[in-house]
Amino acid sequence: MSENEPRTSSDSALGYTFQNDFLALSRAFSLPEIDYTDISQREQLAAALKRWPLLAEFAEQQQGA
Amino acid sequence: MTILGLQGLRGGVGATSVAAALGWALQTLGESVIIVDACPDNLLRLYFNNALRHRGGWARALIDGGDWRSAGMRYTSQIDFLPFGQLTPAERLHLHSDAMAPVLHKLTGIVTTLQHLNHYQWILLDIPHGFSPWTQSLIEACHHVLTVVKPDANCHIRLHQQVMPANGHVLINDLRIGSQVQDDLCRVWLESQPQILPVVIHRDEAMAECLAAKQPVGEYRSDALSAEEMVTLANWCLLNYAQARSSEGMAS
Repeated sequence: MSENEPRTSSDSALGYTFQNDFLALSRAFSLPEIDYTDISQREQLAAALKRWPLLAEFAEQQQGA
Repeated sequence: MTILGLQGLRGGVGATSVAAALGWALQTLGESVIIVDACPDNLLRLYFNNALRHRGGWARALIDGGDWRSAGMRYTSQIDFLPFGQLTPAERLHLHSDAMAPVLHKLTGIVTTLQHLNHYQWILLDIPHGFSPWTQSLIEACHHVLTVVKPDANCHIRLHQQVMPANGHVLINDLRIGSQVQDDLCRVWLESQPQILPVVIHRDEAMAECLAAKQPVGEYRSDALSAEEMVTLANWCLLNYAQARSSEGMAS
């Protein structure tokens, strides 16, 4: 799955509509910027990640990205 | 003139309470405001003592072939509000149908008209959560958008997987003092997400009571913690968002 898929690859009308919707969406929306770089260095935050597996998993996933 | 949208990251995070309270707080700072309800639930009006039986609103007027301007209401000399209007159950059922789309899409034009009136310093939009083509064009018309979140695991997941308005900040609402998980989430968010506002609204009984009292929280209990925090938020908005007013003035 690549973000660089050629825009002309879809020949179905539905695919075309989705592509247009996506382009319109990306004009005004984006995934939030999340930066976990310094978190594990700080004691209180590291404790928070240790306490909650969900938080740790997201931080790990983001750092690996 | 600043167009500021308020939208919950999901339902039930208090976006409508915040919209009403922010309108009131901006007024106490001498600003003139119109608050527009873009939510088909039509609840915003009830923070401004509108009668339950009142059915009028911009969408109701457009569906009935009337003028949306006649749906505007005055609350104080500096606060006007424009209700969505009461829909019938059948209209709610077909809200996302092709027949309703032209009506809903007209709200962006209404906001542009209000902007050109140049009568208000702030246009606040209470935008329903989620994505639909008409809310998308509404969000594009906003100078800024505040996404309201509750510090819980549900919102934490959504913050990672949901797209958000590019011109926005995230406002933490309903933060409970003494909650370990909420405290941890806030710390992590404040450190990892540049879009999170430093201003936080704490959980407060006055905020919960004010809708039952049919008033924005600042009017209901001006000395409550959440009301004071809303004034802080209004000041933050004045400092950071009112700039759009001057740059726009220069452009036009």
